[in-house]
Amino acid sequence: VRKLRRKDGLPFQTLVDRVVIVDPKGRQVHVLNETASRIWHHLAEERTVTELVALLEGEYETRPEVMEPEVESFLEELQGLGLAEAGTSEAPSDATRGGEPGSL
Amino acid sequence: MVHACCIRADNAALLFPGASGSGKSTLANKVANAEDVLSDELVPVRRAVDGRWRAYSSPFWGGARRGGRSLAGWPLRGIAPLSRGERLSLRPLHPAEATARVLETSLCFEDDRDAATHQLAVVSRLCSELPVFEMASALETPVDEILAELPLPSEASRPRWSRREMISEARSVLKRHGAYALSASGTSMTPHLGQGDVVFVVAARHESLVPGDLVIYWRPGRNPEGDHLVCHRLLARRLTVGGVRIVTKGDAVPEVESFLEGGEAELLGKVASIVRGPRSRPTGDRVGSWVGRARSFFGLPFRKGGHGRA
Repeated sequence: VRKLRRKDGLPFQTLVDRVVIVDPKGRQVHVLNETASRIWHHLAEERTVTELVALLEGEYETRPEVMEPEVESFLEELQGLGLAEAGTSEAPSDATRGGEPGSL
Repeated sequence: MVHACCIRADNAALLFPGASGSGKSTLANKVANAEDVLSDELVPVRRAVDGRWRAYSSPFWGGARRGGRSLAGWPLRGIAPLSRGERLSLRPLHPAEATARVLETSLCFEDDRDAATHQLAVVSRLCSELPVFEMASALETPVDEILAELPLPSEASRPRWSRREMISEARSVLKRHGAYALSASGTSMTPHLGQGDVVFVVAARHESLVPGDLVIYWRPGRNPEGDHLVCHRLLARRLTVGGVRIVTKGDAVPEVESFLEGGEAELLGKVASIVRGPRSRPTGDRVGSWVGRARSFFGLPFRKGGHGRA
């Protein structure tokens, strides 16, 4: 189970309910929609998919099993774009946590 | 600095950012009065001391090659990133989306984090404080129709800037930053300086000038519209009882002009280089050849009065 966090040092700005991220090296500008912006804020700390879904559960009415693949897909996209990176700490194992395994 | 077309309407500026081929020059060409085109290529935008965002003309043109003569900064009223379409359409942009669109067309020569953070902060403030619309228009869409359709907040009407106010603004920028660029108009310096040439001016005091330098000075008129920003060749400086008298002449005109520095006119600076088309010509290397000509002019009208040269 891996944890991800947003890449350190990337300039970003929250405008109303959305986030604009600038990748100076890649000369790219990214705009996140409202939900993605919430995830981005939660990624200030290292999180697993399961942890993120648990956080979003309190904010959205969508069921966790619907959210999870979408969150997972979004995190992969963030990582692919170089906007998120693997955290340094290990998530608790499934056995010790007793919950559903994370996907990343 | 935004890659954009900027036009003036009702004493305010409208910024139309866009990539190459998005229609910036097409739009600029549709503006009836070239004076109302600030640029069709690169537009400096900054928050002025009065707290308002202002857009300025620049000496950089795209395909339109017209306009860019306004010396004043114009309050920015709205932004409309451009795209091609079959008919005119406008869509309000969320500040985040607007920020991304304007950032994509902003010039940033550095790729370090600090520069990007600063650029993002400036552009996001700009796009949060001004209305931004995505605009698509066809080649034939009249500019008046575009302006009428843009749902912008009404600008408190103020009289059009007088020539005096515009020169005053140029003087203020030159004093503050030490350099300024403007487009030449008129024919008195032909062929060295032609209509539409871009003139880069640096602030200079009379002590540092030598005959042959191209100098810029503010010659006041009887009313605010009668003021002129003049670029002529320096013939001489003369110390007089009243102060320093500057003697100049346009290369293409027979008249010699003189003024009491700081009294009858104000010397603002000298020309550092001139750009005509894609080529830049520093003026320094031409001074030597011009000194001879300048001196030959000098003797004619002033020897009779017995004035000495500074």
